[in-house]
Amino acid sequence: MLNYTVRRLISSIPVLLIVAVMVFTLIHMIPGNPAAVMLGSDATQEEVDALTQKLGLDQPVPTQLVRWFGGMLRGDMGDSIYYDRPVTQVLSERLEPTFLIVAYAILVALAIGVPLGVLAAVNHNGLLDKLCMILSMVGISCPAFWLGLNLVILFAVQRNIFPSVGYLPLAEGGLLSALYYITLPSFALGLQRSASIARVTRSSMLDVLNNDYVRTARAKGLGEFRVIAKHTLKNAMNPILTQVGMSLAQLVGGAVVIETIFNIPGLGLLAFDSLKRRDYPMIQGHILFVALAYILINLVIDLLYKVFDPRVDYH
Amino acid sequence: MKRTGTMRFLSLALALAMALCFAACSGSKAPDPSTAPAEPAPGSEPMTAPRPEETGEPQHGGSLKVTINGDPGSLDIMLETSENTQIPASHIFETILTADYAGNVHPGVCTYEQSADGLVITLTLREGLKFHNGDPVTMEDIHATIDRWLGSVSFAQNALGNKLDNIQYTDTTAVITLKESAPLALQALSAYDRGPYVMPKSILEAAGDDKITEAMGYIGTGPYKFVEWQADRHIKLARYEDYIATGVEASGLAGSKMAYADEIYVIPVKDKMTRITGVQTGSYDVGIGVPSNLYAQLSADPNLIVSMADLGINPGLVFNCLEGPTTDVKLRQAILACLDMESLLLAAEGDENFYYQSPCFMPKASAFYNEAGLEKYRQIDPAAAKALLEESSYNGETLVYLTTKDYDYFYKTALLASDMMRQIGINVELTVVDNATLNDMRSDPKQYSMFSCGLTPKSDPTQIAFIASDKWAGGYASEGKTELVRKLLSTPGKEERIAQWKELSELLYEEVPVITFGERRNAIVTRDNIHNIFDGEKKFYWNTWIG
Repeated sequence: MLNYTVRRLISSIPVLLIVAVMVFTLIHMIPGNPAAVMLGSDATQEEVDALTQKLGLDQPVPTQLVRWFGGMLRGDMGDSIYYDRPVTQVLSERLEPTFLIVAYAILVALAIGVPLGVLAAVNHNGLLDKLCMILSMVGISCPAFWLGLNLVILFAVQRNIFPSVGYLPLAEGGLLSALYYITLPSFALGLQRSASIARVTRSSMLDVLNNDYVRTARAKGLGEFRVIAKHTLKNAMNPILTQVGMSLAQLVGGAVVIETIFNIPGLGLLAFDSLKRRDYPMIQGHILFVALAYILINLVIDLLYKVFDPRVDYH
Repeated sequence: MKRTGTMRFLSLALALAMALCFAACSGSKAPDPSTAPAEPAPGSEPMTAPRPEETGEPQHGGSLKVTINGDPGSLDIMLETSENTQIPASHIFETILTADYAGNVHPGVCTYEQSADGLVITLTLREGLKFHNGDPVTMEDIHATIDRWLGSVSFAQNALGNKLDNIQYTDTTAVITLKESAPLALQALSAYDRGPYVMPKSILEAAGDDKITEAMGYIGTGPYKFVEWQADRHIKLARYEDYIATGVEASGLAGSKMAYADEIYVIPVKDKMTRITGVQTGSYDVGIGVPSNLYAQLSADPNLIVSMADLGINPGLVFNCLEGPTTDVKLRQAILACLDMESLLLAAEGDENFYYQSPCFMPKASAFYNEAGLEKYRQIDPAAAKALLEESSYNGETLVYLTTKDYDYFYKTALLASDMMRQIGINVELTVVDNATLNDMRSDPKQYSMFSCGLTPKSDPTQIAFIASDKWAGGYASEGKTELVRKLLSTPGKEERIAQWKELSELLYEEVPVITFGERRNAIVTRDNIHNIFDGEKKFYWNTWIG
């Protein structure tokens, strides 16, 4: 497994390099000048040109690419044009809320999606099956921002149970306070993802439920809970894990919208702002970071396959 | 039987979805019919009401949580033009002089005297002033501030620098001697936008040509001192206990500044709805930019106060005067003649209380406001427009109208205006891009015929972007404009300058380089315990108390 992990990590380096070059090229193809954005609409062309030159953005794109790439190989992702601070520093400041929201949302998705899927599979074609699948279809169809706005109205504006905006860092209020602040955004993201997890769980469970060993377990007189939990669900986990991996990746993307609605100072909000400001180094740094997160999430999911299915061979 | 069961579940699911929809659409609280304001009848009082008059005694204490539209890039207010910088930074830093709502100049960090001929201005440092780090303010700091300001701000250069003979500094005074009349010198020394904000000499030297950073220190003399900046979360300010007020009666940005709240949290909130729900739930105390369709609903909430303030922004369009069909003044006049400003403003703002119909490029509240172009502004004459179009060299070419959805009112006005132009036979193509792309495209005259704009309020007409420079986007230049701007920059008397601006306003309606649709207003929502909030274009929270 160690060999496999090292091989995967090494193979991710060219992927990241290709992503880096592509992102740099694409972002410089989009019209818009960060100098003009920074100076505001009253600026004259002379003022914009002067700042463009000061920021080094008047250099040919290949020259800028070589300079940026050289820095990146040394671990320096450059400075944010807007904040005038190192990209890595700005990114690291925004990491905590996004990480917590994604983790909380995936827990919500699993806590709702897996039991719903199991319930639907066990009651195949029955009343509960149909209800669960209708609910999951509704969940898949609801965009996270719409769910988020509804949750704000129901639980913040009308009931005042959770805050509608903001975030309290771990260092200031501890884990419980941080979770309290991100409950609504996490549920908005998690509820939507729970729908697809429920559907995958159901179909995977149905495949396993028809196997001989499940019938044997029942014939041996094992309780239904034990049959489902130990013999069926465990063997149905790998497709669910794949779905979890995909969901995690989508949650990182979904954070852009949800952090804007809930005004949470995370990576999503930063990405959104940086794109509007044409803060090239910031956008490049953010996308590279997300690409790295995708690679690592996929690696962890691949490694987890063996936990649930010992037949998986990494050679 | 099975089919009936399925139908039942479908009905259940539908009911659930509808319940959620109703929850989303119903808003925060259903207004109580007994307390909700009635629908105004046509011609009755407007639905917006002024903020209740403050009668109670101001109270000290508490944390005020106010919102801005986004995270600022820095708090170097002398070099930044964004309101996101200006709102927090104007509590930390103060200008050498200050100006009230009417434009009258008052003491700031210094008092002033001006000679009868206006050619000598003596600035005297107010006694006992200290920076937030405890160091006394000296004339060396004023000297360094003026040097940096004159070297980096074009308005400072135009209004004062170009007319400067010399400045003599002593321990307590700076004597500014001018070569010629500089009517805008005092105004420049008291400017809110990129004014001479006094900072310690050591910090200014450390910054050089760059912006001042948090590491160098945001140290000023204002009623609040900088505490911390957590990017995208908040900027925290705390009362500066050693602040010495000017003793002049408060008026706008001038006069005494009382720091009633112990702390101010300035919170960047990009989304308008997030700002408003944040105030509804008590997470914020002040939210700016209430949409007109929510005004009545929020006004019915007993925990909130909703009021209007002038915004001073002119929504409009700027013509390409450098290349293409719109270089023909007759075509530009035809477009002006066909536009129905009332419809455009209503489309943009949704309610007639959220704008003024105004032909002037200066705000209604300004002494420079005039109605010189009123007839042409509100002509709405398609026949005259078609006649002007006939006279022009326009030959059915496609006119590219650049706009963006980043600002709702840009897009809505452009959509309707382009339709009005099509009705008189102009072939208009609306190009919708994001704001950064619009800013980029407008720098290339080959890429557009006109673009949406929102001209921000200025204290003097010579600061308006397309008047201040012939090189601003659109490239408007004319002999008449140059001559009148020259006069405006050199005539000392206020009344004469107002008359000159009126003459220039008439010229703008002849040459039509830019069209203003009117002036935008703004609704502000606060918690009901927030008192004495600003009521002008500039947003500040000294003199505001919680109680």
